[in-house]
Amino acid sequence: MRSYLDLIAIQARVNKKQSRMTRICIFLAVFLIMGLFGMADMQIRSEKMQAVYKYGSWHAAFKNVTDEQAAILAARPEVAVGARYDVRNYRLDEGWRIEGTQTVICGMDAEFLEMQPEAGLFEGVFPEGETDIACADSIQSRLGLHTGDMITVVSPEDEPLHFTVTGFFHATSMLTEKDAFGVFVNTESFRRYFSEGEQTETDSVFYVQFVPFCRIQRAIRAICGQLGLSEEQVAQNAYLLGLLFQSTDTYLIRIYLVVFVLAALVATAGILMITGSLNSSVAQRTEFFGMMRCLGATPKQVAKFVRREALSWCKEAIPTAVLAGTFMLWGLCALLRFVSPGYFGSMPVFGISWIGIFCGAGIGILTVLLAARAPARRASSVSPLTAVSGNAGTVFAVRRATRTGRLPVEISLGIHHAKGSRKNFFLMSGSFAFSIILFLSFSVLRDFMGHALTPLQPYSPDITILSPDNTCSIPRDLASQLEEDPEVKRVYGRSFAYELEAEWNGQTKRVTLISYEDHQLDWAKKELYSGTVEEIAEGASVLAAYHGEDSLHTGDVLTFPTESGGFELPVSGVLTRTPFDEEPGIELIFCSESLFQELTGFQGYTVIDLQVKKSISDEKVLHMRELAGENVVFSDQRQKNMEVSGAYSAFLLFLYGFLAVILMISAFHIINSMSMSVSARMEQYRNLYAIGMSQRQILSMIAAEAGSYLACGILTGTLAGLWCNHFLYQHMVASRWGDAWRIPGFPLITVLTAVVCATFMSLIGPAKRIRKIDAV
Amino acid sequence: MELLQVQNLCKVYGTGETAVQALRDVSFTMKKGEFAAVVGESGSGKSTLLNCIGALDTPSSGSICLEGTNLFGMKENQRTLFRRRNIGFIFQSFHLIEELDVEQNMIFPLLLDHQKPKREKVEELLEILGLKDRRHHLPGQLSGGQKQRAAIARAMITRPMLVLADEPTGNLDSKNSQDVMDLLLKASRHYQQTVLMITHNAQLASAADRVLRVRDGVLTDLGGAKS
Repeated sequence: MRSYLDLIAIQARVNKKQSRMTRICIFLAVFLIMGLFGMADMQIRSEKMQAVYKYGSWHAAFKNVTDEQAAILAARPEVAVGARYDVRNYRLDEGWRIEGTQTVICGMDAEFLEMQPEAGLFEGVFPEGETDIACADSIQSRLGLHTGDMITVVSPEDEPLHFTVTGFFHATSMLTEKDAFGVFVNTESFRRYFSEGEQTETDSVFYVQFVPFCRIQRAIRAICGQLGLSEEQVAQNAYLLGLLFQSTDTYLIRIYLVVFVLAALVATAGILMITGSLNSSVAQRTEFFGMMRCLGATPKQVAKFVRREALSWCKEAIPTAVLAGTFMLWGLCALLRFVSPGYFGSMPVFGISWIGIFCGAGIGILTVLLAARAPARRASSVSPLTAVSGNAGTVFAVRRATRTGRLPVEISLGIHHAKGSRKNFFLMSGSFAFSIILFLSFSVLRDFMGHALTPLQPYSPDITILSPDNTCSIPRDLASQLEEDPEVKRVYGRSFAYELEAEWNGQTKRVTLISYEDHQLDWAKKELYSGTVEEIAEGASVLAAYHGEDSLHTGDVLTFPTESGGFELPVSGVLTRTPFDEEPGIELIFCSESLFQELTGFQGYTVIDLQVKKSISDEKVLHMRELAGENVVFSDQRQKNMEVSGAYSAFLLFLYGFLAVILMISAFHIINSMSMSVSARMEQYRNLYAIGMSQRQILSMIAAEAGSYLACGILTGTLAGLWCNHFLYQHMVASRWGDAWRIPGFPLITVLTAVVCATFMSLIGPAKRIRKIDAV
Repeated sequence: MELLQVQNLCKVYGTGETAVQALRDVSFTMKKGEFAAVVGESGSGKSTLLNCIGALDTPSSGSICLEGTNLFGMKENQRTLFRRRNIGFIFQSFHLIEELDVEQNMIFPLLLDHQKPKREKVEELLEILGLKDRRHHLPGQLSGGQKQRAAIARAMITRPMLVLADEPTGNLDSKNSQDVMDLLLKASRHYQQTVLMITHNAQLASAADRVLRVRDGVLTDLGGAKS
């Protein structure tokens, strides 16, 4: 033993149990902070992957620049990659075709592919030559092409242009959904063959990817200044820049503010938790610090002792928490890969979040140092007299006597204990309130997610076969043929009859009649506003869609004119929502397939939707396309669905992860706070036991104390939490989507239930200690 | 030579009607190497006197000088350093650090003062106090008498000019009480230290050079116990 500070290590070795609570607090705080930042890091990483996948890895695009300006731009030191890009027939309305299929044609420099990983060539090479072309894999599979084959692109003026195929790339989700072809050539070929009338070099857009750690907004301003470009000439990949914290978009800045507020709230929770624990640890050793002062320790030495002690707990707690946090992140990454392997396949399972580790450990140490300040001050101000006098009071000085008239004495005492010290009452009920505030603040993310990401509906199809003129021209057998395939999960067709008329209450209504089969009727049950769906299947009634006050109601009768008079059909149910766009003045009416045929005489489908297994091969889909024939629009939405469900499930995972973590903080904080409060009063409980108070009464007294904190915490926490929820809602949701704020009922009930349960749980530990109490 | 000079010492707790005068105009002196016992009933003001002399408590008025230095004429930090180097404390309930063994407890005040303990001094003190074979024992493994001897060793290690003992035998049986008293005397003689000890035990008080009695905050010098 060389220094008085060596006592810290000796005490820690001998009294491991005593400091266990504090070490758990530090562990939990670091784990939570690391979890929060690590999860945010992983979320941003996955969002970046999605952003790069969806929009490309370019940062800025400069319109109407000359080739000379582009060369100057590319030579700038902050530009990592620069490439020209142009496109024809993007909206599929210009008439460029390959084998009769509308074709999107792009012209680009080879470097552009570095910024668009989605369009990367999986076979062959970039089309360098004047008559070289690269094609989407859909062309390869449908036309049976190989590299080196010739392909003809037909212009809107029916002029054939012949190219040699040099490579193939994966079709984008837009191409597969619209059932269109896509090709690209180099910029020079594009300008030669696909330029429109008086096209000049300035019609190309110059895409730029900046070097890492470049201050992008400053670089863009410098480029505009150097080349004399206006703001309108610059487009930014706002989504990606936002994720790189380089955006000037006001909405994203608001989001940063929100993230900062939420991170600060979690850090504050950590500080409160550790401070509480350290305070209790100091309070329980008042006599020890008094004795140290008696032996000649200066207040500074005592404060240093407390701070060092806190830091010594960090030595063990922080690495353990970082390790646990890393394992949790690995678990999350593995879960993400499991949930959406196509989307998060490239995410490393054993990825290390340096941001998470740095923030967890850094903020952890900082939190401990900040948290140790007050207890250190408290310990250093312990009078040496406390050691000699034996009055090592850990209980606050009583100013007023307890009112014992109305309530049982133990309850009165419990309430009085709670209110004994204003500061303590504020801190304790504050810790209850803080949990509620934290949860209500974070729960805004749920509303944000509901707007920012649309979940995949149960009825969303992977493949749609559509009649090009919206008639019932698709043969019914096709559905049954497709259903035979074992890789097809569900096939559901619909027939549409437009511009029908029906009589209702003496008025004539314009009606679009839609047939539903069993699957669609099942899904419709979940959207029922009133009535039932079951009767529809029997073909004796119809469903209507709700669109406000003038909607049809359950029980209304529609009369459809037929050759033999009128066909009366009652409305047996009204749907709140349908997957179709509604036009004002036109009623959407749903009926069974047999009734549809009876009313309209049409036999075929307008649309056949398919839901397929994830394992289905592209060859199988191609076979389906061939089966459907040439006279349909074949829309493959698998890729788009994968993007939507991947993004949604990732966000869902992170959000509920956050909320679970917050509930954990709350529960632990409350349990810990109560345990500390009981520890501080143990001596007093012993005395009360000695003078005849039963263990049950002591426990009632503790419960009354906890109840007082709980009541005040719930009241203030709910009020402040709702204010925070409102504030964040205004910034994240209302400012963007204009929705009015409503009291978040479900999150409020959830957190209040959790707080009440945690309060009950917080009494379990004290109850055990009280059972072992003795009067000595 | 006068080592301790207490002059017109008063201590009042509370104010107004609830004010309690714990010490009333207490004055006395002690010489270097003198061993004095303070006797008196519970609540008479003995501990308050000891706490004031030990600079643990601040008197309401009066002065306390140790070897010519006024304890309350310096700042808190200086006073702590002064106390650390010049005053040793022995408590009724020992106040040993449970996690440290006897030797570590002994040297703890030196470590607080950033001093390296001298081996021969430690050995000498352990020898005098009969703790040589208990040096690596934890307080929990010691008897009451041994614990108090360890506390005396801790008080003596810095060679303080003044040792204050607040009922050091209060928690001990008669045999151990006598042993501790003998050791305290022996150590103080050996190191020429001034000892002021509170005790309720008349027999122990009689072993002191001088007896001071406190009653209702007033100190009376009863002179040499033997006389």
